[in-house]
Amino acid sequence: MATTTAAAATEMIGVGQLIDFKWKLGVTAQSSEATATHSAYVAVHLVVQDPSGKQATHALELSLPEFHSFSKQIKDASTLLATQ
Amino acid sequence: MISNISLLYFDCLIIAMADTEGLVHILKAPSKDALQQIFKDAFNFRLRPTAPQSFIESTTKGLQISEADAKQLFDAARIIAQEALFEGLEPQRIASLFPVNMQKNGKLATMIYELVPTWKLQSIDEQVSLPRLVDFDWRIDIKTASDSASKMAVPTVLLQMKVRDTPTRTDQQPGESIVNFELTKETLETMLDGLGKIRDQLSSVAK
Repeated sequence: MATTTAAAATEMIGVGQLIDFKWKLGVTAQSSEATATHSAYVAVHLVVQDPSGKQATHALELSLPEFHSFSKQIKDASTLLATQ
Repeated sequence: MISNISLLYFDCLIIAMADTEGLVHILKAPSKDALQQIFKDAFNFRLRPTAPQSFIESTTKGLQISEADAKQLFDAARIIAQEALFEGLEPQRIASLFPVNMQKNGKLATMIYELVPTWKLQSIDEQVSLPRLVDFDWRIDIKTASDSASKMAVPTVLLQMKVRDTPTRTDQQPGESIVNFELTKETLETMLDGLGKIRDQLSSVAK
């Protein structure tokens, strides 16, 4: 019964579903403007499938503080979700 | 003197002393703050082809110089700021970029040297990159019923990300696009797993 309900839940009217979350962690060594920048960044590829089945890839980048904030908020959402 | 010239030749090949002649006008600056502001503006507007109107207006008034001189000053300050940042120059080497009659101006060179760390952070923030995450919001929805199931309690997370695209014009902020999607509990947990791995890697990367 639960499986059917869960399946029904994912198929209903809604926004896109996140299908894939790819990431890489990089450090910039140099730029055309400054030497020895040594700034870390997280580059992320999100694959979202909308209800019609079409997949869209979104590439984006987060600086370290942005990443920490994002990570903490996802953790909060996850904790809340577990208590529902 | 000879060693100064040879350093200038080898390390600052593209900067002829004539390029920085306009810097002499800065000596008319009324205060140290005004001096700093001129260099800060030169760096902030470094991508513009010529001095912006706001810079021209404030320097012609504040320093009592002509518009042509203000433009020359902007070009000189910009070149010096960019070179000081790119090469990571010491105050002495910064001074060697000044026009001939300003070479001994150590105080100005030190002031520029102290502005470089802020410029470096600014440059890192604006460097070549993928679209940046500007903001993101989330909410938890509980699906209680639908056309295929009259009673259920399925929690999902709805995530909305605001992404700023890469800039295409030097004088305009690029637009923001919105990415919306839904995550189930399992997807969220997998994502959290990935984020945990990133956090672990980060602690082993020397800053």
